[in-house]
Amino acid sequence: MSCLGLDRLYRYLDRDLKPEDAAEVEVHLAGCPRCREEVELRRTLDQAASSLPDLEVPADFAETVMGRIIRAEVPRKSWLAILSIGLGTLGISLGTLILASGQSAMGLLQGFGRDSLRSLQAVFLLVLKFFKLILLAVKVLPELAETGLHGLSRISASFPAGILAFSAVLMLILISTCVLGFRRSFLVRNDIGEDA
Amino acid sequence: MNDDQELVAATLKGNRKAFEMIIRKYQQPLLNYIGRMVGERELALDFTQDVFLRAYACLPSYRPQFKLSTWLFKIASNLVIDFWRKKKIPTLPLDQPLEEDGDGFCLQIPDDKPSVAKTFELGELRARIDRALARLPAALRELFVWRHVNGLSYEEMAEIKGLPVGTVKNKVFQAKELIRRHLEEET
Repeated sequence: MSCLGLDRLYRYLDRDLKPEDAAEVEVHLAGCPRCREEVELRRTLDQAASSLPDLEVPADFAETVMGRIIRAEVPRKSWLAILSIGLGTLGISLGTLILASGQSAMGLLQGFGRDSLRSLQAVFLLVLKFFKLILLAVKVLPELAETGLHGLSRISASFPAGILAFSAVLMLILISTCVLGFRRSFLVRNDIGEDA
Repeated sequence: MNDDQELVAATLKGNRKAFEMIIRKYQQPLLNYIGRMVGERELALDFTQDVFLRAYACLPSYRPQFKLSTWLFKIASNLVIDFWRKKKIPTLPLDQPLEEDGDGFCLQIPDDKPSVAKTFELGELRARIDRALARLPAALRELFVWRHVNGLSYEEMAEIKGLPVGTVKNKVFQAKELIRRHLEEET
């Protein structure tokens, strides 16, 4: 057997070789002082590396972290309290309103139903008008576009071709920079945020 | 109540004491890892705090089929990578092959001077390894620290980094050889 390669040597030290391969290595080591010394050197370095000193953790570390967690949770809980108080107040106000109106709850509900129907009718009319406006815009737009294009071609005719080409390239660079920049920041953010 | 899964379940039910126990269990290994990755203890303490804060916030998404320690180290690794990116620290791509492997590789024969292992006492050797670690490419240093300082298995490291186990082993061997060379250069 030839001298040990690094991969085999480290696998031998990690006890990662099959028993027959490990036995073969041991036979080789018994007769090769050079490889024996290399194995011993790396074994010593492994032992030293595996017993590096701990970095000192402050005694109150866990309390400090828990303190930060509690501080972060309290504002969230106070928002929940505000929301509960708000909803509670709304409920009490509605109850008081029903009592003060002197009407039965059913009567109030019927009134509310009638009002809702009227509101729905108004919204329906509004949507109809909106569609009419869109139809009008569709009729007018082609004329507007034609006028715009005509104006643009007159402007471009008054500039030399070089300036126009330069402006087009500049616009292209600007747009691609924006798109690429957005893509990059989006990808980086996603990558970092993964798993945590 | 010492089992990690039980501690996680108790934390999710609102038991803060359970999460404090998780912190106490993992503060030392995480600080040892982060400290050797960022090089400054104070900064490492801040990052270790951030790991636990993120873990607490993301605990509902933790999947119990994974080890809690692996999950925490993954969060820490993401924080460290983020730090390297901001600092623009170059990292060696982990898919780059080892210079040479297999039985055909000839070991570096020690010359006349005695090897580092014989020259230094164990304590001095540890201090020198710690200094040599700082000179390793960040990606290799991370694997070396996980293997030797945190005692993670190759399988756990492969799971954290999403790499094949063979690649991880190869990189750890590469890191060890680089450290040995740095130590030889110093003597």
